Amino acid sequence: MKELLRGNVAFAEAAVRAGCEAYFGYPITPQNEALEHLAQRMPELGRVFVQAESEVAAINMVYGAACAGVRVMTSSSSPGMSLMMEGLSYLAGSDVPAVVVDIMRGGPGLGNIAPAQSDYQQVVKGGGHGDYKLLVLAPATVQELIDLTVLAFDLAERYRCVAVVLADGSLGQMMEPAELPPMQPLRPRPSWALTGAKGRPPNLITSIHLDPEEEERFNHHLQAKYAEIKAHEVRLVEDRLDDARLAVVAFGTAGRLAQTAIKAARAEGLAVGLFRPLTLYPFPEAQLRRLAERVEAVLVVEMNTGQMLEDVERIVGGRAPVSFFGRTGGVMPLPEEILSAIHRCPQLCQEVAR
Amino acid sequence: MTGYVTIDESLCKGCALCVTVCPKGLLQLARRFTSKGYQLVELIDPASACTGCAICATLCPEAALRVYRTVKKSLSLRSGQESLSLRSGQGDLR
Amino acid sequence: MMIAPIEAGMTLVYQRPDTLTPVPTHYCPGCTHGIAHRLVAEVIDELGVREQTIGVAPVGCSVFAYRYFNCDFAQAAHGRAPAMATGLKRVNPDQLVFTYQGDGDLASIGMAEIIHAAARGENLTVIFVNNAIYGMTGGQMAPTTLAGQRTTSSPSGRDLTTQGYPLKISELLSQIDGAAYVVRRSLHDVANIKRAKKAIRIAFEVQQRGLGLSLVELLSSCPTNWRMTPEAALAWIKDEMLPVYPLGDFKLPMEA
Repeated sequence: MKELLRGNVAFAEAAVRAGCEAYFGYPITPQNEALEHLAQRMPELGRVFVQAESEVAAINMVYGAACAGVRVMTSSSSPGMSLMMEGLSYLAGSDVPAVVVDIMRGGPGLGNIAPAQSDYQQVVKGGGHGDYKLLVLAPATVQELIDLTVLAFDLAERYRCVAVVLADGSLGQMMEPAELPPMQPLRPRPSWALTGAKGRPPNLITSIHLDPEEEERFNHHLQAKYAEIKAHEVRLVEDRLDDARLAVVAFGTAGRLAQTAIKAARAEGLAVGLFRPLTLYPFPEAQLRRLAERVEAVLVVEMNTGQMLEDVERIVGGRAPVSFFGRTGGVMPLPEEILSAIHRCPQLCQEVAR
Repeated sequence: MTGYVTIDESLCKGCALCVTVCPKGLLQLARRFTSKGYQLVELIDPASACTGCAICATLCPEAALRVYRTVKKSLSLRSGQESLSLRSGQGDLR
Repeated sequence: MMIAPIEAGMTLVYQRPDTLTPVPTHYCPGCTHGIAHRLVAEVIDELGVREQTIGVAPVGCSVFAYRYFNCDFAQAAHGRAPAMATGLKRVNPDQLVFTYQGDGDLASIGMAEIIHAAARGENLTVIFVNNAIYGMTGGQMAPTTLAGQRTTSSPSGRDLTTQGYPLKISELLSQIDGAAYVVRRSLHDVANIKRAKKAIRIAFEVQQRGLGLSLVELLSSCPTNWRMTPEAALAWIKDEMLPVYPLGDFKLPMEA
């Protein structure tokens, strides 16, 4: 049954339903409603809630609880994500699962609290030190925010990795009808978890491998894990691409705005479609490459100055010209502006002039 | 003879803290070295002066010392209990 | 001796605690980390809690502490052990969670984490090894380095006007309501080592009773980076550190 839900509250409650046993967070706009919802909900259910003293502390609390084998989450926004990068590197280097929700805002620096897609590179490329990747999911609606948060817990657990739900302030703040999943039971602790070495040898969770060859072997193990993730977990929304001459590539809210522009473009008779990755890591590379072979142009639309653009250019690899339209700093690209950008694509100009 | 100590050669690093604290000066750096190159400590106790006070073990950072002591049986005859009460690490070092 | 001590009628009265693994440590000869580890292991043995203890190792010389304890262990980022321990303890309330941290870890990069773990009254035990220097990284100045003390980043001796004053952690934390047991002990001689062990035991018992954060600051030596023999280093604790870091009980639990 659908209810009118604010994005931040929706993902927080979705986490609860997915069996999240512990939440550690820090106030940062524009995601505070999640922290506040969980401050109420987690104690109600006898689960753990702590408002940490900083995002640095929060991610390390997440790390501790993750080592104990429970489903655990934190949420933050762009400046907080920067603070968490050390912790994310440690989580990745320890093979423990965790979920992080990033409600992005304008940057760099203190930036502002308006919606942006500032963290694509920070999050999709790992962000912290070392050869690791985060599994990154990019919702565009409150329903997707709910569904991908639940999926994040499942994938994090399956692969013992960090799964990030990458959304922005508009998604966090907007209210939409959406349906929450039913309550799942809490999971039992896995055998590798730190729970007290009763009747078993002690468990150790560490990310240090002093011997370089051992560290290299561990890195190969991580790469093998990521190869598995790439092989099985790509998710993508393709809309009106079958006969498209121009493919718009966009994620999250930018994708949603682009969709409105594409509807208008189609109404004008322009053959435009939308390629909207739901997983930014693993990026739907094979699909984009195949698409680039048959469309005449690609237009990347982002709420930044061109972060996913670099990946798209690399993947398209010259098969089609790639252009970019973006607004940044918290300014949201309006559908009319995206439509104008579509009009400006040289491959479509002839059609428009006609 | 009331006391005796053994030094675990795989653990001793020849820091000589035990040598400095033994109240009777019964521990010395030996002329032997461990496989890691540390100079070993040994008990030299020709007059059986060691009382098993375990002060050496209290200082040892490597927990390399085992301490033995002759324990008098108590007159209340709680059979076998009194020698167990001072066992391995489960009581204060006296 | 010619016959084994047991055959001579002697009793084994002291051996390595079970909670210490049979692994030679990487610590320098005469480093008091070994004494601190041994005391913690003895307490865990005596309390019979090895199977319900989870330790959190810091970054510092004791980064490999987990090699030496026969219980569940996690490796934290520099300074973050109290936060990691908070996560571990909150979801494992029946386990005993302790952190083992040096002064570079706890009193520098980790100041926010220890203060707030205390403020929250987290039921954790913190073993704080204070040797007034950054040992692992080669002997730089620490927040607890003494005035005038030469280190690699205070080569002319710590200059209070440009490099600040030593931090008295036990005094600082004792101001916090959520801190239940905050004491400073020393490892420089036998009598003090015994008192230190008693304090460590009380600290774990405070956690068992859920009274709040327990912290035992242990004045410790670093013979290598202090450029002293182990014996001289212990004397330096007594002569130079005690006047700046007096031993005592700074906070004791108030029982219901």
